[in-house]
Amino acid sequence: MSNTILEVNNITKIYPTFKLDDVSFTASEGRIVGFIGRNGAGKTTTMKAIYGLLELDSGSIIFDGKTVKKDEQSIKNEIGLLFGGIDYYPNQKIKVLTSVTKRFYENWDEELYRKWLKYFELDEEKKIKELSNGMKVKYGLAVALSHGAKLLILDEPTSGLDPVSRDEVLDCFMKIAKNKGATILFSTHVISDLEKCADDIVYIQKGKIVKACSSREFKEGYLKIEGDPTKLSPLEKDKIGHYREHDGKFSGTIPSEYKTTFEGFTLSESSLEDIMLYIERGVEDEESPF
Amino acid sequence: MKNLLFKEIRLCIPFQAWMFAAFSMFVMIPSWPSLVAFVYPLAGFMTLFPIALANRDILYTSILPIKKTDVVKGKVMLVCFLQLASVVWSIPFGIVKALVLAPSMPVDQTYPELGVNFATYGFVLIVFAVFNIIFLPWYYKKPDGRHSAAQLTAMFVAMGVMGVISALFMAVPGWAEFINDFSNTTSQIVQFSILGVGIIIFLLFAYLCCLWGGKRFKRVNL
Repeated sequence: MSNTILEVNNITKIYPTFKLDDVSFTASEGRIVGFIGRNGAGKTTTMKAIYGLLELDSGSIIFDGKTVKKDEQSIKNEIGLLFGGIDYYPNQKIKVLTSVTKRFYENWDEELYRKWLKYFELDEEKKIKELSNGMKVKYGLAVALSHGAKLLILDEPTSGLDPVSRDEVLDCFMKIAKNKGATILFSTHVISDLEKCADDIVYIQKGKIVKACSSREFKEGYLKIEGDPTKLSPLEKDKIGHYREHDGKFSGTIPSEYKTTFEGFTLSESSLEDIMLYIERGVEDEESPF
Repeated sequence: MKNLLFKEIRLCIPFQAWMFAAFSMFVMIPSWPSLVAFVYPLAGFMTLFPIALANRDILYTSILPIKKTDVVKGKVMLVCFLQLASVVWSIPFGIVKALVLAPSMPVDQTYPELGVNFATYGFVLIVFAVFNIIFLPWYYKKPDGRHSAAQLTAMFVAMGVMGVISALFMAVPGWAEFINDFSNTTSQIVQFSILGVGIIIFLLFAYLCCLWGGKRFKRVNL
């Protein structure tokens, strides 16, 4: 078992219309942690809290044995943070922004940075505003990956990327985690990205952590169910989340503990997307005005 | 510290701010209150802060490996840098006024002027310090919101201080003549004393801006 590098302990942040409620989870060295939840669930707020951009109401964050409160500067040197793509100073050229940024990092590796620029096919002479969304993400990644960060916090890093670029970036994540031992905490709405590379999943819903475990454990908690709807009793049907009928067949998702209840139906491994829909739609139904 | 100042100068100074800072050369205009020339550098900040906001400078700086309070320190350094640049830039023009233009002009007996001397620069630094201590801690209370109230208030108070100083030299008989007398040792001592007090107040207020602004900015949720 690898060492824990990030501990988020019972952090709470209260806004007038939103509460990050007692959020706790850990991330281990060399692991890719997928941070998922709906829009407004608290993913970005949590990520900002880890980096010390928010003043917390309670709780603590420990990174590599250090606390954000006491060792803010040294922690920031070892974390790469990226919100979507780089969109600061749109009228500046990449080379200008980098020349300023790199001065602040103790472990800046210029050679590595050049390699990332080449790998991502980034032209240093281009202005930030001239970059596509995908290129902005790639530039942000190139910077984040060039200062020897032990933890990369990436908020929606694959949004706006075409499938090929997305695959390249995910491939990068896996190589960075495996070869460099860096931990990656990334949020995404593209659940298929997580299927490809996430070792662990942290699921947040309305400011609370629903589940934080390994990707395998997360998936083992749910099953995909299919079969003939006429064979379902109303009681059984109520237990199925994200229930759909199509072409005389039904499909849905159930928690694994109901496995024995549905022995006569086709049960298979659930995808992360099905599980997310099960968790979210289940809640939505409870509060539905219909 | 060095990196922060480099970042601020490289990324955060729009052309307009340089231009307004350079208007301190108006100190040369004969028969014109010298202090007024230093309103322009302050007006330049009207463009600097909104442009920084549009460039998402606060988030960019906060993401750099520095303390959150250093974000404020960076801007305080930048503001002080531009103010000092405007002072340095004005010096040759001030010398021309003091040594060439003013002696050839008839002395205005009705409204004698502070002129350009060491004391003038002491007063300028005090005015800048007053502007900074009002504007910067106020701005960093809510840096992503409206800041025109903070800036306008700081400008008007700074202009008020300028007005009071200028008016005193016009109103009190002999003061303007005394302060501009470079051959008088007592005048020189007074000039240097005012300059010294100006430097101390300017530095002290800059430190307080970092302290109070940083304290307020720490509570801001980015």
